[in-house]
Amino acid sequence: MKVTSYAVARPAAYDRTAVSTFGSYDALVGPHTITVRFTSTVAANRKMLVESICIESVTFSAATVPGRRIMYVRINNGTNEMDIGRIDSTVSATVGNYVADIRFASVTIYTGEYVYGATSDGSTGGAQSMTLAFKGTTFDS
Amino acid sequence: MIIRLALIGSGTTSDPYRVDLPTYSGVVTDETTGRAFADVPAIDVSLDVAAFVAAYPTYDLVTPLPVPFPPALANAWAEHLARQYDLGNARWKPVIF
Repeated sequence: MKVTSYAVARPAAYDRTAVSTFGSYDALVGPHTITVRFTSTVAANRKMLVESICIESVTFSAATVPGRRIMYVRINNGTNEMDIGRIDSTVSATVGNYVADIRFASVTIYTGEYVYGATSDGSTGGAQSMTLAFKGTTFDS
Repeated sequence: MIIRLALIGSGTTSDPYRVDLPTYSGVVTDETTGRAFADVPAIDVSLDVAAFVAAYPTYDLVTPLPVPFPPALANAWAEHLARQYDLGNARWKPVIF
């Protein structure tokens, strides 16, 4: 009797029309309220693996009144959301002060969900060099 | 493609400043004028919208457009995004501003 296997291995995610997906923001910015700097939404029949996140901030010029600085990269499914990287601290008055949250991730998001990054600086005066980015791979479901 | 868009939101935790697009990057804003530059994937921009952007280049976040963004073009862009992402509705309605 001839035995035939019907099992055909499904291609790996990175072989299913995979494309690199980036979102980034890099600027010298003064005090501001919460502002979304990038967003990447997963289209129908696709998924995204969020692979790495980079959040950095350097005090470029000192604030008159240092305030709370928040920078985050977050995932959202339309109902709930969570941080996958975050800086949340009072801005340093020391020029050149560097804070960062750089990490590798393995977070899969699905059709209609999105990853986004936002910044804010509640200081009075001064300027921060802010870098915010993620890299992912989007592929067929 | 860098496009100058209307800024939405109020800068709060629940309603941050943003632009009304599914995918964009490198947003620079002016909350006073309500405008923002955003880097938008070319695939998300319909040809007629790209032609409008090319016809009316913007260099700052202050100077108004010489002509308003036509509502028909805004609707066509929303429909283009709805088809592109196929998420069941036209949830994004970006406006060049």
